[in-house]
Amino acid sequence: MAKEFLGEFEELVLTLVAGLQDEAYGAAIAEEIENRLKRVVTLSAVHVTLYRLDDKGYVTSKVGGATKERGGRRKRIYSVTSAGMAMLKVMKEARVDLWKMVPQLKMS
Amino acid sequence: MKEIDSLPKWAERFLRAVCPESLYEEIEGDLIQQFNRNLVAGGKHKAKRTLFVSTIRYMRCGILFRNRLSTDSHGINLLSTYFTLAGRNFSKHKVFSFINVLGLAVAITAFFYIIQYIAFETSFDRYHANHDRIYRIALEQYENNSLKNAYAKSYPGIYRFLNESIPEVETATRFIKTPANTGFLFGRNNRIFNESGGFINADANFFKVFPTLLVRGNAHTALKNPNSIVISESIAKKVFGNEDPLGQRLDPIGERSGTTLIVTGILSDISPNTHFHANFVAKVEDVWPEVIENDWAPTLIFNYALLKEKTDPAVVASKVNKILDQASMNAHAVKGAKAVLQPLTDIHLQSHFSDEYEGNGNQTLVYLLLAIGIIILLMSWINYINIETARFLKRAKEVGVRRIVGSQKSDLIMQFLVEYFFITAIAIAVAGGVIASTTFLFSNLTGIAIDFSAFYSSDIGKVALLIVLSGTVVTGIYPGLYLIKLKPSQALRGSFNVQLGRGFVRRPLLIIQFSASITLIAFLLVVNSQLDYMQVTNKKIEVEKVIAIRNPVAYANIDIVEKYNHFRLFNDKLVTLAPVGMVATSSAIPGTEIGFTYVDLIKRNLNDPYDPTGYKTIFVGENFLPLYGINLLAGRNFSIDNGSGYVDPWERKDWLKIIINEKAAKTLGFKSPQDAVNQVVKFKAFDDFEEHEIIGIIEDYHHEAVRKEISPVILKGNFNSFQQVYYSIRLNTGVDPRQAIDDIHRSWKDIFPEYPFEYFFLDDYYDQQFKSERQFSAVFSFFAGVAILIACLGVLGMALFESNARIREISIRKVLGASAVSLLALLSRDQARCILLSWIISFPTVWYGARVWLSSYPLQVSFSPLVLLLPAAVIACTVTVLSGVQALKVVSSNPVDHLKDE
Repeated sequence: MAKEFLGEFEELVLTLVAGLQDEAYGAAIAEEIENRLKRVVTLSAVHVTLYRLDDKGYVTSKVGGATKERGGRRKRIYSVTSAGMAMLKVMKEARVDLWKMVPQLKMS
Repeated sequence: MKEIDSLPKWAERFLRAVCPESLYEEIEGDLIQQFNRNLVAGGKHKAKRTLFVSTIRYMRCGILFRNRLSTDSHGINLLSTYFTLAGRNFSKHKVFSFINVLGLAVAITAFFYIIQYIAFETSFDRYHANHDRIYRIALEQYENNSLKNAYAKSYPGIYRFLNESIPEVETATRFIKTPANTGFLFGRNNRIFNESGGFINADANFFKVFPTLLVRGNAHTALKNPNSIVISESIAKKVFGNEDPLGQRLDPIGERSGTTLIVTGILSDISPNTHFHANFVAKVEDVWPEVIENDWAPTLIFNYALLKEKTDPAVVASKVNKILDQASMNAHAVKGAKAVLQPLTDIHLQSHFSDEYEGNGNQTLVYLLLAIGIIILLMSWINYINIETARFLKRAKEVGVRRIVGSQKSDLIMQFLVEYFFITAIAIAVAGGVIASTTFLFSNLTGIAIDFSAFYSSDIGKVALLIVLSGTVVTGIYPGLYLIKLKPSQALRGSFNVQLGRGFVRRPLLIIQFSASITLIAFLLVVNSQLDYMQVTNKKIEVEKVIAIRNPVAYANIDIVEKYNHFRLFNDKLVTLAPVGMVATSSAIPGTEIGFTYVDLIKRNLNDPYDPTGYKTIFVGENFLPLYGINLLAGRNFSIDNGSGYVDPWERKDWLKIIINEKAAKTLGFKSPQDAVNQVVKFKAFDDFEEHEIIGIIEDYHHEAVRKEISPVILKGNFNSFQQVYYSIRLNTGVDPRQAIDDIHRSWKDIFPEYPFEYFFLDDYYDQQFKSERQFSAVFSFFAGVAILIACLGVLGMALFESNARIREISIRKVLGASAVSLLALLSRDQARCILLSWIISFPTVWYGARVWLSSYPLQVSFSPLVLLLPAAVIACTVTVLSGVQALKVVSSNPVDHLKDE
């Protein structure tokens, strides 16, 4: 996996897809980002990122159910592929590794 | 506000345009959901604002091009399919493809060359540094408030006032220029050179005003000391080879022999797009001290001023005019004179005085060519569209089938774009090939070297490139878009509305083409007949079979008796030669400007008022008139007895006699040639007015090109001492000119062994004056030909369309019993009407345009009605042939073939 890497926002979206499971679709992911990270995102940014992850093979999608709230339009539910899961793990481990280099302050 | 279950109309439309179909539902749903949640959380306004921003932000590459240009989709495969299809279509309809490619390629090539020509013509004198601040001071002479004469030259004294009394002027310079065909004879290390190409005698400021011309040497000192000379790079190379030319000596021969000139600088080889050229620049004080002695002498010279930055030339002009007004109190030569400041860069195209150095360009020609270029380009595009839309019937079916099988509109657009791109690309490639392989022809024809890199970096080049590319692309796309608009069901039935493409668009396009072609042919006729007229007829002088030689000792600083002896020897030797019929000498030969023009030169009474008319004087031998076949209207020729050894000229019989031309007689106020004979006038041949008797009146002949107005001319005998500058030698009929030249050369060697022998044929020499006209004619004919060719292609395309579109109608008519003749008439009626209308439209353009163009010539060819009729007839014939063949094909085909698919 030397060449492939994820951008910060891609990683964020991929993690949320993994976390939200059956509720992982565009609007929900955008809302989650806004609520948890207090970060304003546009829907289009989330969608483009999802498509890009799809292109890279880290997520797959299937058409899900429609709700009244959506005006009867169906959702597209995304789920993490095993390649995506592996990527997430690699990135997390890399972070932890790097974090270990930082001298920890002793809280005494 | 209630929750929504669909997006607002605008958002829906926007998203449909932006998003790929496959993503649309998900995106729409997410947007609705977001809106509804925001409505609850933040209120109506916030929700709306967020919706707006979110929607607009879908306008991004990741959405726009997803599944359209992405590499993994089937798009690339389709694209290659489209190219295959384009290739197949191209080779399947060879005639159409050929017409399309040919038309576009020819038009692009022609346009390219026209733009090259225009770029060259408009680039004149931009070569000089500070060209935007340099002005030439020209002169207009008024009499009773009406313009009498205009000169490119002005008084020698203007220079002094420019430098001393007008603070807005940075520097000014003045100079006299010897015509480019007059050689400068000089020696160097026992070798003798006779170099032409222009000799300028200027003052010390010359290189301060034109610093770019000096490649080596100091602009401030190059012309400071007497006997300095600056020579051009090519002359330096020729004379000095690899030696350093600076500081070297040159020994002039002839007039100034005995002096030594020191090379003080190197002149650049002046690029062709400047309005004066020279190979030598020397000091005016060395050669023409008498000319610049008097500020307001009637001898005019060139004055140029470099203005300070941000100076209004009008201010300088008014100051110069104030000085002229003051001067006119004392010097009557200045009366009624008005100075005009001509911007340096305008001189080539806009200044047409009789005393320009070199034939200037023609602004009308530039505009005319630009118009032709644009017409050619437009016509080729129109044809392209015409021909492409003419193929609607066949293509419409194809489109219908494709639509039904499942092609998206976007796929079809792509297919047609590729197809038209294909044709356009081939056309551009062909044009490129043609241009690359014919640049030398163009350079030969026009004398313009093509420099591609300089061309494309110029503004004109960029604009032209942009026009060609954008026009070609638009033309390429247009027919495709047109096709796609068709409804598949209609297209499949093959009964789409033919009227759509006829009447409104087509007929005007056709009429424009016909009118343009008729106008061009008519102009071609007018221009060529005028040129023929000027070149061939009515010179009233015979220049064929005359060889001219410059007398090397005419201006030599040797004893007058010795000069006479040279003349005597050479002349006597020449007349004994078998091929030689007659020999004459003169101060100027036909085809050159006659020396300086003098005003206030001749009058009937001494106390007559100052006369600002410019008279020209030629000194001629007694054989001049018979040799050139110039008619005497009244009186007699000079009779000069040259046989009795040297006699001072004033001792000669006809010394105080002159012959004048008709024009001069008229200007002097004589009612008829007979009236003028034996009249005595006061003529200032040298320093003072002397009484001269008019012994003869000659018919006005064209000493210079017929293009110019005939000046009043005074002929005086050159007798035996001076002004025998040229020998004119008339050969007997039936003589081989090469043999004659050999003989003459031998005699020359006997008498002038130290001088190089140079001769020219007078008819060639005289014709040189028409160089610019002939170039004009060649260029104009060529491009008009191209325009007509393209119009023919258009007619062909149109005929194809007509017959294709109406084939069903014609088949039905035929089945019902219409005769072939009546069908032909039916098919050609429309075109006949178009031609008639075009003829009427072009009528005033031709009439008015030709008059305006002809009015710039003093002698005009009579305007024949043929000019108006012939072009229309030519077009009518061409159209009849081209469309007749096509119509005949349709009419003679079996109607069943075209009706069975209903």
